[in-house]
Amino acid sequence: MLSVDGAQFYKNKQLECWIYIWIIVDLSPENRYKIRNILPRGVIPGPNSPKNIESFLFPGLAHVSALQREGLPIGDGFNRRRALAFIFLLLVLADAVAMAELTGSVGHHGLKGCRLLCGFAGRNKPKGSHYYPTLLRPHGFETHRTSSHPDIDINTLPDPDPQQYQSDLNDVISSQNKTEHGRRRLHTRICKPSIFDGIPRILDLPTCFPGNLMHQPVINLAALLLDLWCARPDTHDADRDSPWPWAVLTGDVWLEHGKVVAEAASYLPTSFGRPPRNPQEKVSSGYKAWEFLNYLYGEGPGVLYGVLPELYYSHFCKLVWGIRIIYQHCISHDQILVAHKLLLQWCLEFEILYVQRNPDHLHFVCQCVHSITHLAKETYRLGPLSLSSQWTMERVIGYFGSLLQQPSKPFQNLAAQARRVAHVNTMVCMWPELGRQEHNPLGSMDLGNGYLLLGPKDTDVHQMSLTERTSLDDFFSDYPDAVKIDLHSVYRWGRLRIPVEQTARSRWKEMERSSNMTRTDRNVKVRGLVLGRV
Amino acid sequence: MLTISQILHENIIRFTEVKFFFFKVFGGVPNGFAIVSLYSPPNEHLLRLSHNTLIVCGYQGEQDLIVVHIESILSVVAMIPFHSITGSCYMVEKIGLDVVDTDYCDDNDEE
Repeated sequence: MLSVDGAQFYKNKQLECWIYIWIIVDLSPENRYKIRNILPRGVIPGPNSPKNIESFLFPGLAHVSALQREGLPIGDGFNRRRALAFIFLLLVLADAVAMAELTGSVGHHGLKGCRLLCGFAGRNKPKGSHYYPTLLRPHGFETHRTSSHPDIDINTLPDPDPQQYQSDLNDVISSQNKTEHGRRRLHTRICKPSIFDGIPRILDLPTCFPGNLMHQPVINLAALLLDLWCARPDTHDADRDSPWPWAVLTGDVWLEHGKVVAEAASYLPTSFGRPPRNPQEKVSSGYKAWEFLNYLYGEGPGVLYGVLPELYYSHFCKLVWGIRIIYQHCISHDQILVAHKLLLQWCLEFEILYVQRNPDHLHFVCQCVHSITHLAKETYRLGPLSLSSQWTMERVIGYFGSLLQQPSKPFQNLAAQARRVAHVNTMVCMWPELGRQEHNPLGSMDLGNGYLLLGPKDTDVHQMSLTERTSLDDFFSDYPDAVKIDLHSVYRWGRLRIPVEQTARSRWKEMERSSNMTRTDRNVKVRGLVLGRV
Repeated sequence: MLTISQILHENIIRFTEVKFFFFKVFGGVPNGFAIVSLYSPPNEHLLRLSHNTLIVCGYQGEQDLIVVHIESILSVVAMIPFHSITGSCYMVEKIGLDVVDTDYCDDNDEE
């Protein structure tokens, strides 16, 4: 997979640059996103965004294309022979701006602005050139010049279609003059052939450009919902006289809500990543994707209960449930069906509840709302989308950023660091013994199957309380061989590593801590092997 | 319609607070256990209202201690104080890990 993203280092954001990397999909999902296993390919210096991003990708793509035609010789040690590997370019990941460039399409505001190039046609406001992907025809649009088409059934939305794409592309490139090109571009969304059209082994265009689970459903959609709930000016323009039932996060409520969210941070386990900061203070200045994710899709149902009107709350929860399912690393067929149904319902009801066929509300329906309709189908096609999202890229950017130890010559520094990471990764790949070996921490105890007891631990036998003793006796009463051992001499351990790479802590040790700014890791989900016997 | 507490009898997923971990040797092999405090089963009204996303449980402290084998521990979750009901918490899982599967049943009559 190829992944491209813009990165901003330092707080002032003036140091924008672009990074692109290769991700090797042959490796298992647990390994392929580790820094040691990615191939950094290029750093495009800022501060201006690249005018022609294809020219920067071209050397790398030319190399890949050659390997795809001629094969990459690989030593097959087991059979003592050389084999030719013909690599395949599976997916191209990028943020929205780079993606439009790479797919050779018009941006998200075009008539058919969906980044998957599904061909769904939006509607524009009577005097606007920006199209919004709405299903329902607004009032008074019956005689609209370009957007008079009737309501669209959400179950009949188009999918990206390679054949349609090819014929559209042929149409566009056979345009005779500028006017014709402009008209065909509007109706097909395509302005030029994509550079990936020249790659011999790649998923059919445009299906090699997947949706992005990070930008649209998390950052953009969260920002849109918050704009609506807070009644921010840019969403709230034409109809100030009619009150919005959903605009509840204003004044003191918003102040209080911000505090509640910030206070919840100390209850989030360490493994949850970045806890959301007070959204009332920080949401418009560099709120991170993980913060949005933990805030809306994690804490959202808890912190918005009793704040949003019930109708809007219940509607929001459908989105949360759908997104939580889609974000899993392992998703059952039944869950995909549930998520699909819920997310489609959410989209349709979004138009009913918020847009209300009001032409002045048309701009609520951003592409991020439409993108939700694709998530379940894309999951069915590509597997869990969290494995092909831009999260890896974010981590790489963060890692490279941490390597920049000094402020001078940032772009040269970054390029040199990226090159060094590439060199080190190559060496570790050829001589694995150079890589860092992972050992269990000192004093830990491996219990097998991915469970590891970690200190601190008792040095003397723990004096159990009566309730502890009773629960122990209950549990071991029908345990095989329990009579043979001394049940009541127990040495406590403070932490446990579990197979999902989280570390559970315990009330015993967490209550001893003095600072209240720490996180809480002592709550666990259990599948009760014991309770079943009661 | 199946509710979460009915499923718990079949598939028994519960949220607990770990007091401490320990191990015992059975047949020469160390087995890990934890003494945990059970949170009460989720509030069903809130569960339905929120399409299974708002899982509110009561903290019970010393009252409901049990021992679990460590292999029944599936993940670390957040239990955050829920302000609308004193003494209760709502559960949040790490996004990306398996969500609590509650056999979602659609009512089709929310409007």
